[in-house]
Amino acid sequence: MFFQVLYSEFLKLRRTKITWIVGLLYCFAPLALSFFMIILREPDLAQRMGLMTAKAQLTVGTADWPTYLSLIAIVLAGGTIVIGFIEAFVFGREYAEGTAKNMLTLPISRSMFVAAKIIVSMVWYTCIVVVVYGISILLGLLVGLPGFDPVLLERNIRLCLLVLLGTLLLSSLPAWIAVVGRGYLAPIGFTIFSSIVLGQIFLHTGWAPWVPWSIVFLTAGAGEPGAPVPGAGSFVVLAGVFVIGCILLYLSLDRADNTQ
Amino acid sequence: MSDATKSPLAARKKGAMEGSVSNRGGDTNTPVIYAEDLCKRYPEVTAVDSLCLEVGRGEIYGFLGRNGAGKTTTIRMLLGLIRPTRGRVLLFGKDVSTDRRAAVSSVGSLVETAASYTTLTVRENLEIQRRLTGTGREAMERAVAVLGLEEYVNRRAGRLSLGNKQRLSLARAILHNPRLLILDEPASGLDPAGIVEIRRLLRRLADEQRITVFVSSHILGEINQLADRIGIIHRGRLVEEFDARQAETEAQDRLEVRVSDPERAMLLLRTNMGIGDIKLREDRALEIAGTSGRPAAIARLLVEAGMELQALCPIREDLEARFMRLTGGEP
Repeated sequence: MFFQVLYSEFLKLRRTKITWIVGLLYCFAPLALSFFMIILREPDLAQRMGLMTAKAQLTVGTADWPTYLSLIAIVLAGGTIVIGFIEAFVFGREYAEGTAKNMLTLPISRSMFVAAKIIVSMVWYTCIVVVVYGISILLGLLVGLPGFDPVLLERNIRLCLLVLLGTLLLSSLPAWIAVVGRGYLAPIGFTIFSSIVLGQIFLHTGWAPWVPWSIVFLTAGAGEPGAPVPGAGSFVVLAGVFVIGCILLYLSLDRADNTQ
Repeated sequence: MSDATKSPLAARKKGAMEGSVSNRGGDTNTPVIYAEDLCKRYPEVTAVDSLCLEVGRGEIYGFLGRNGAGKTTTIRMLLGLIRPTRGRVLLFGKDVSTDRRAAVSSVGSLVETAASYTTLTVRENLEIQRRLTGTGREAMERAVAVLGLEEYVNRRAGRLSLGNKQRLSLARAILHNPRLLILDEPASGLDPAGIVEIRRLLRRLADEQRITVFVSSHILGEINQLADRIGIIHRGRLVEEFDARQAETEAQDRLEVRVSDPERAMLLLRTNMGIGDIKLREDRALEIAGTSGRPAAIARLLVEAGMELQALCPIREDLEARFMRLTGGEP
């Protein structure tokens, strides 16, 4: 039966514009990064066009593969917002379109719906990350950045996988907020607040390795120079957040009154 | 009004004391729907209060009430979408709170508004239901045919008219051949022909397949023509429950009497005939309840007392009048 639930959840995404919109918007990130590399490589041109000052070059780095790959990892850390939007859609849609009551009156364990929706969201987001990463590498090659090294790429892929894992572990909380908030707005608001406000504020403090939304950015190397590197303990925190989110999600679907 | 119709709860208790649970039209002792002392309280309002229900196999139960009377809350509790504050619901003898999956395994439902995945076609929406209920493809085709959705199967649900959205929801509800249909305002959005079609469909399902139908509505005509039994809910309480056919045919026991001296007539009727339920209306006519078989005696008493009897006629109380009387409106 779980396969049927999973299949149904994938089927629900058919023809939804939001899948393409989210993917396309995220694909602008590598485009912007590669353009940025061009600007860094041609600072005179950029200054003549009024796009960038000489000072900016000092803060960002140089136009080479190590800089480019590190920026890709930071862009992928911004996926904490994207996964929140995906969860808002996957879970919030059932309330926005009024189909939650249909789903919840079926003789199927509600935990199956939770698991299937979380899996669908994760697969959806992973596909986006793979596409974004692939486009980023292609654009880097097209731009002709110097310093390409397969070992560096392999190391970056590992780092990005770690960032991906961290992002995926943050997916259950916005899903729960979508169920509690019965729609899209609450999880989107929560995602923006947690990723942009909480994540960025704590990123520059000593607590960063323990604040879930900072951990992902810290892992990606977005912290201050000399910032602590998140260890296994940080990922235990993320795993804990994921498990707590899933439990809350299940309880909200199974125990709370479903009045919409 | 009989004891049973005066207090459904009292009738249930009486049935339980007699050691049997009635099952109208059923062939087992297990009612399809059994709700006991159902109560749902919110901090500021009691949505459903001490509601008892019992619906047997093959029965069409009409659940009438004004907007906000507690119909949808009751339906949500029946389906396990809302947890009752007190009481319990059994569907096919299975407790919805503790054994929800077994209880709703053979239930098709439509709660409040018709809802479907707007980006998916009619066929894809039904495909989801088919897969999640483990039903064969032929059932999907049958449901499409029964609801007259053939020409819309490849149309996105979001582009359907309100009536066809309702049909899609009904097709989804009957797709897996449920033994119980719980429908909240199924005629909502349908045109008059559509309402007739749905009524016939539900009647056919009940008569031929002995499917039990629990249908809520605030449209009296719809319920009147469809239901075998009717329950009226008002401010969360089931205020009356009666057999629809019997109500239609039973002799009316309310009289309208016009006499020269209504105050004296009231006194006479009370003291000489023991009639307690007499109302003097604003138009100076007397409205007398509980007069079954006694109009001649009433007429004789008033005439012999020297009063001029101007009119004496039975008051025909249809469902609308009954509903209005029970829910506090003017008859």
